[in-house]
Amino acid sequence: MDTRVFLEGINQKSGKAWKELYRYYYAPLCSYAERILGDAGAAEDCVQECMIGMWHKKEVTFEDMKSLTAWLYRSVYHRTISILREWKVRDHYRQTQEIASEDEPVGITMALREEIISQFYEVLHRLPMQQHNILKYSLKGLTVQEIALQLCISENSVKTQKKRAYQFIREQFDESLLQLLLLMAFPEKQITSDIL
Amino acid sequence: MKWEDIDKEAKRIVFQLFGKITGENMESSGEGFRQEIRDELLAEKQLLHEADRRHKYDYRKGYSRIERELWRRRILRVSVAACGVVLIGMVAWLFAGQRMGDEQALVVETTVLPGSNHALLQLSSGEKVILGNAESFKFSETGSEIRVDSGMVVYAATESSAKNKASGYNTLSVPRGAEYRLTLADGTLVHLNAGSELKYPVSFSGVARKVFLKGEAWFEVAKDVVHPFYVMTEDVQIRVYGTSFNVNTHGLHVTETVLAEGSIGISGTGTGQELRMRTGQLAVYDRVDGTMSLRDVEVREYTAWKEGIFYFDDDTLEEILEELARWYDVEIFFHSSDKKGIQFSGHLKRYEDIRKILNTITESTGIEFEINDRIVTVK
Repeated sequence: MDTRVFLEGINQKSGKAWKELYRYYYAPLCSYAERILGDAGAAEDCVQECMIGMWHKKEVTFEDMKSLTAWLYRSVYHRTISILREWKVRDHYRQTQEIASEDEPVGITMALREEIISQFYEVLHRLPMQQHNILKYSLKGLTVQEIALQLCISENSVKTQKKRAYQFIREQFDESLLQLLLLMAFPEKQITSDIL
Repeated sequence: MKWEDIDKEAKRIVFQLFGKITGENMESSGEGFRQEIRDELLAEKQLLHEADRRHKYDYRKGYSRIERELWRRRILRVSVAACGVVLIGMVAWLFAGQRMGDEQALVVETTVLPGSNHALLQLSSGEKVILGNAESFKFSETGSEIRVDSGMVVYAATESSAKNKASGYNTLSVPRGAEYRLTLADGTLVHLNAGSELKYPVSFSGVARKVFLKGEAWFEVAKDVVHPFYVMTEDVQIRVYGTSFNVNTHGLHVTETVLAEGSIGISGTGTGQELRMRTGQLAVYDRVDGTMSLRDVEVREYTAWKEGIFYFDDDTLEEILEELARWYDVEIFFHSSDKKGIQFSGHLKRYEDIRKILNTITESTGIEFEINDRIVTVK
């Protein structure tokens, strides 16, 4: 779904956009809350509370993906912290939850890690089937030779497909981001159009 | 770093991760903590473990709450659009209700009644009609005549339908706390359970008879060897030539199909390969790993709902309450999640007050429930 159409749908509470919102964010937010709370059931209740809360808030609208992502992770974070406090009071506080997550920067870094995983799989699933398989095998730690054997193709075509996959992924990320990346990679060099 | 930076930072690191995996870009610049996350995710197949970890969270279960909210809004809109007579009638009813004493109001508050016959019918024109229990009326669509009578919609193909190839689709949506029956233009009988939706052509044309299901329904398909009947759900596709079976996509992680009579072919949307089911078998499609398995079961356990019975056989409290919530349109709240796995078996009447049902569960498991407004709390 096109980002603009998606955000509009979120703001106007369209079922289609909200289903997409759940598809993309529900599991990572639950996993995030579980890391802080140490309980999968409580994590799910907590995420649901935040998302339903967002549904009922008329004044919350989003202009871009970064504010939507930020809003969701931030509200789940604050909710988990208050749940932890409630548990502490009720003496249900479990020993394993001796985490430093009451420290907001730690919470942000944990959220970043979840979002990386989401985005990674989102891009991976958009790859053509064979390239997708090759990258999955690489992730599992198989060598080029082993992948070639698994898929009954030559080692050379494994290499070519990897190259193509990288090309495809590059195109997925917008140009502005690429410039930023290149600036980081070659801080000294002048960026010329032929590098891009 | 700020919360707003997450999106952009993630993109940057994902790009680098792919660079490393494809071996195309080994650059690994960046501040300490970013490099740390990146390396940690690549080491020890962490990315794969994380994907597995997320599998236990089914977004569809979460999204069903939003579906319910959408339902409320849809009903509200249709109600507003409905004619003023109804509105005047309701106002009068409300005033009459107010005159009743507090005593009566208390009774209303503490009884949570079971589902009844009502549904929302969307015609091919996009127009929506609320179907209740009592009324009976007739209207016609292109190529078919529609009759509504005591909790059932009946389609009858008209003469012209054979010539009229391009017939539109209607959608029958049954909210939580309701059920509805339907006879399609080919004579196939469908019984929709609470919180379910069926999309179907007004009259069938072409080779295949195709309908689209969300939720749970019992089908008695009219025999027609020349025109196979297909039930399409988000996860599975079922091919039938004339038989009776039950399909349920409400499961937390699975879609279940039970065959009561005849033979059907079933395939998962991901797998493509069709499995042949025999009478008395259950096909379980696992959404998490995309696999399909067959086993022999007691068919009645899966179809008892249409005869007005809840049939639980070592089902977990979470599953049972999920089903009760759909039928009584209540919210379930667990004080602690370790109660969710407790099992219960029994036959209970679907048309009784929820209190009776919960009392029976309390008697055999010792678990206490608290009902407040439309919220059931598990203590």
